[in-house]
Amino acid sequence: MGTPGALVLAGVLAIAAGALSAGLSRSPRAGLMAQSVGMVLLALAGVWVLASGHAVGAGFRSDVRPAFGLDGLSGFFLLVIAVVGAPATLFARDALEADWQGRSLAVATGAFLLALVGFVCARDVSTFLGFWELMTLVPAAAILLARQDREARHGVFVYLAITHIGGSGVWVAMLVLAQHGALGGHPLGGGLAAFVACASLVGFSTKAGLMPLHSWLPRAHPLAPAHISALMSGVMIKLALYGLVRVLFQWLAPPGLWVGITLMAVGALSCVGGVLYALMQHELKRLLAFHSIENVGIVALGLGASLVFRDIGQPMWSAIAFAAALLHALNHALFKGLLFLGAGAFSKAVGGLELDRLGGLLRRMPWTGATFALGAMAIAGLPPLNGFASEWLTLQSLLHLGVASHLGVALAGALATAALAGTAALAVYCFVKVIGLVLLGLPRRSECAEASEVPVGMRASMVFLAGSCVALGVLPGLLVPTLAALGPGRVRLHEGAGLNVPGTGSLPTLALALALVLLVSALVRLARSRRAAPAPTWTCGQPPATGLAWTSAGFTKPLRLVLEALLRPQREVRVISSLGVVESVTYQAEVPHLFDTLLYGPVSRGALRAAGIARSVQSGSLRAYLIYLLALLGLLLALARTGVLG
Amino acid sequence: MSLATLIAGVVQVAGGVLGAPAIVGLIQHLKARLQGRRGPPVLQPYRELRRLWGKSGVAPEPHTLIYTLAPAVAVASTALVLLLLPIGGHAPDWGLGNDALVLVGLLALARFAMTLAAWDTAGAFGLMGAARDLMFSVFVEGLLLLVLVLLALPLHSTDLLSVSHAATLPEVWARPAHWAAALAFCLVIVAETGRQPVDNPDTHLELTMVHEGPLLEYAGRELAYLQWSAAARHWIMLVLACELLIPHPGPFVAQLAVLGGGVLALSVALAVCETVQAKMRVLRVPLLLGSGAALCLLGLASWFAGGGG
Amino acid sequence: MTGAVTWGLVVSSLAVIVVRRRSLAIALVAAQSLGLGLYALTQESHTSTALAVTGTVLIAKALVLPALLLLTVRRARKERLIATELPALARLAIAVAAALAIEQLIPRFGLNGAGVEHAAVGVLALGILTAVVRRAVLFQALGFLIAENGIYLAGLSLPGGLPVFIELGLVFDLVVIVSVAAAFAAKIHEQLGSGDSSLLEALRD
Repeated sequence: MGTPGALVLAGVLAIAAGALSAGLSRSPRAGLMAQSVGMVLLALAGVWVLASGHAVGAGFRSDVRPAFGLDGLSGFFLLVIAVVGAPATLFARDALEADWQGRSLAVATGAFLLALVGFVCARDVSTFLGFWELMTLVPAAAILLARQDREARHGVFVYLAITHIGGSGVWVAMLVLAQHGALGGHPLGGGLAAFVACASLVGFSTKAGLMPLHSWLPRAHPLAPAHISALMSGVMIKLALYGLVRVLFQWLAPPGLWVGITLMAVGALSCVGGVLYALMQHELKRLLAFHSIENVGIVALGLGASLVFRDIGQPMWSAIAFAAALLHALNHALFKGLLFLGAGAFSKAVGGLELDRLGGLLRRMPWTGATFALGAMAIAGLPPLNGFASEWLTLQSLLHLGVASHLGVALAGALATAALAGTAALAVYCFVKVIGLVLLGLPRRSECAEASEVPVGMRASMVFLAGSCVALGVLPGLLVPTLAALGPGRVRLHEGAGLNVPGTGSLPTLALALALVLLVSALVRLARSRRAAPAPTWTCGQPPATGLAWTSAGFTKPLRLVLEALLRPQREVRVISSLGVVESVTYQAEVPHLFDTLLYGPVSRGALRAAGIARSVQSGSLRAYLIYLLALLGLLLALARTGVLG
Repeated sequence: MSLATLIAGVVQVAGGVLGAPAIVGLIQHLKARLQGRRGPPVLQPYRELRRLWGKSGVAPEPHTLIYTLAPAVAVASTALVLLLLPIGGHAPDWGLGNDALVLVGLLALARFAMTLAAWDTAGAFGLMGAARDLMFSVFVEGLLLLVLVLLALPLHSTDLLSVSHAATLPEVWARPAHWAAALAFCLVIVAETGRQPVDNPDTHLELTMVHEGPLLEYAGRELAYLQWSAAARHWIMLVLACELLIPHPGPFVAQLAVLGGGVLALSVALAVCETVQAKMRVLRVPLLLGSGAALCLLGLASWFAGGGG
Repeated sequence: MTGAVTWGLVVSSLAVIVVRRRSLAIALVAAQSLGLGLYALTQESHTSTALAVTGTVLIAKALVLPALLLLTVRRARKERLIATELPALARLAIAVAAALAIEQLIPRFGLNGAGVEHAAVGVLALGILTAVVRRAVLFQALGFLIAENGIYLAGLSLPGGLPVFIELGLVFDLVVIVSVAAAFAAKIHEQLGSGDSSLLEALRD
């Protein structure tokens, strides 16, 4: 079994033991610490397998015998699970109370982690599909454990309904692949490959949250407790893309250019749509959920570009695009996990995450605020952090697709490049708004003015994630060649701290980071060598009032007005006056989710109407059902006797 | 390191740090002349900077570390961009590479720092400008990336040195793709430098500011930083235009001459453009940039229609 | 001998469809099972396990289950009889017609004689039709019992005989289902005040 296998086993046992002890003992703290340790062991196993390049355990097999194993790609995704799982469980130690709800949530966390790990290590169709289902069901259970109100129940219902209806594509694809022996190393080709590609695209992109099958994500992610949201957003949706990678890159013979182009189109739509709707949100967790859609879109763009490069015969760029997608998956896990944990910390300190009613939290909660700001800068794709490195690599891949030799491919690449560039700028816009509203300015509620810093465990987990963001931003070149080797084409890239890719001017991350830090500190010293005069902020002579402060809707108004035709914002102003004196003015504005009104609404209404019609068959009479039975039997017998049925 | 790269390095640093305010001064002077006024002398920005350098800064009441850091970050990132520019087709190896996308990323960092600072002081004026600035940036970045796609077509590389080398090849100028990129880049220049018709750099009314907004809360050396950074953006954009989008002769000295003449000519063109045009409605600017994007896509299609490669 | 048994089965099934009183129907079914069980005992290969099993089946089907059903009927004595059932002749006619139709459609499936085959299929069909044409809830359980008797007859006439485990399985199945049916009949009486299964339609929303 070797060291990595032993590490995996030890990690899994630690998580299971942690879950059990959290459920049985009085406080879940010890159990969650055991789960954290287990995740660290799993991270070590993943890194070991990734670095050594040797697979461990069983390989993929097409028959239905349960088997587990670990290869490079699985090891990488194990690392992704662990870098979010370990801090999240540490965070939960301080976030969960020692009552029944806290203990059951700790058990649910352990079960979720085991389901994620099991999915990544599954090597045959039964374990793959079994853990896929568990991966969907356990967070639903966790949400319902934490909240039982109507909104939570409806959100979980929508989540389960959409992921199961869309996820049937996964079942179909996997079973067809297993039936034709494609899992064991003979890629499936021909017409059936196109069908499997469609089914797997629909199935995995529903779970990953790509538009237009994303409607469950903004409903379900805000409902869960902070650490479960971090795991769902950071890890669970990436594992859906892991499944897509396995199907499209390893188990199917290339079905044609259309798969890559479709994936790129879906990715571009998710990118732009996700970040646009994120900008228009006024609640922090829902905003972060829409951003997950955007980042999953970026990963999908990278994967689609990799497929297209493979089909037009450029193996080096195919590997680079693949590495970019995987790197962005890891980076997004890191900073999205950090942002969700930060949101959980703010929620614990202040209670409520309406953006317009926060503010001034950087001074009251310096650690949480600073790490949250760092995470926001990373997700906005600013140098020298990790978001910039992976977005740079993805942009380079798309740009080089735009200069390819075939006009259709070049147009697709150029449009995707423009979409990703616009997305990056929109992400900057969105996170300037978030940081400004949450951390800066004046506190807008008394709870914000009196907020205190969260316990050490929560802070430590966020600091770890922020540090990883910086580390991966400064040293991405250590990971990218290994990732490129995992992809199609088997290409080896230049090793180093920065990203040195042929056909570009290179991204020397270490030098850039050092230069920035040195210059900034020198300039700050120079500017502040004279004492600054304290003065109040000029707001026409009044003291700054929170009632006159900018809101989220106000800051995003220019974009909302420009894209009015696309977003269709709705606005209602009601003025109540009596005897000529205005008594109250109510203003309500909303950007409705167009997908809900145009796509999901009609579909669900039609389905309900059809179900209503089908219901008339159910008369409620036992004898009627027996008559149906006998009639069907008679019909079948008659058909058999007359030879129609074989 | 050859003589050419040494000279290029000197021009990079000196031109950017010392020469950038002269461009702004020249444009202001020319505008005034065209409008029939006497106007400030060309070297006025230097006097402004010296005056501001001697003054003390301000610490507004509700402020955090971000207020202190933002001007420094803006200046640092703009200064690093200076070291990425090719001068006459050459650039010394400062260890920062020469990638076009890194340039775009660093300018985004500068914009981020400035717009975030607008939130810090709890004053509302800066935010109006910041919101518009960020809205423009969404469309400007998309357009800029499309221009870079067109520029990367000949030599399949985003390295600025390769792209400027491609501008010396005559066959590149025979195809409409590069001309389309040049026209679209003119729109980018106007948007990034904050000149009319996109933005009015002379206004300080909150209802009409875009780039100037966050500058309201600063004084002293920090304001000097920010004014220099705005001037440096002019230098960066004009040098990029000259290096990448004007037909070049081969030898280094000739390229330097073309660079100098080009920067001057483009400054004059900017001044004329500002005098002739009125400021556009903020909501119509994305339409203008969108037409630039359509032009780029046409250029891309024409490249492949003409035979690709 | 076989002919008498089969004819007895068919006649008693038809009689169950016609009679009005439930206790009479239960007695008919008990007699049917008794006759069939005695016939099975005489047919057995005389090994002790086979004898024991057949004996168990006989006791269960002829004594235990009818007693359970009688108990249920006794408890629900105080209610109005179901007046709106189909007339007896109509019931008989429908049942006979449907059973004959099904019999015609089924091909030969390998029993020891064509007559036994027809009888077995006919009794099975008659059992299900009892549940269809009678409205009292009790008759659903009785119909199931009759259908089971038909299957048992078919099993007795198999070329190799019926394996012991299948016999045991069948009787276990039967015990469970009839117990549950009896419990439900009692519950329905309790809730709706009468054993009319048509009243269950009112529960649908």
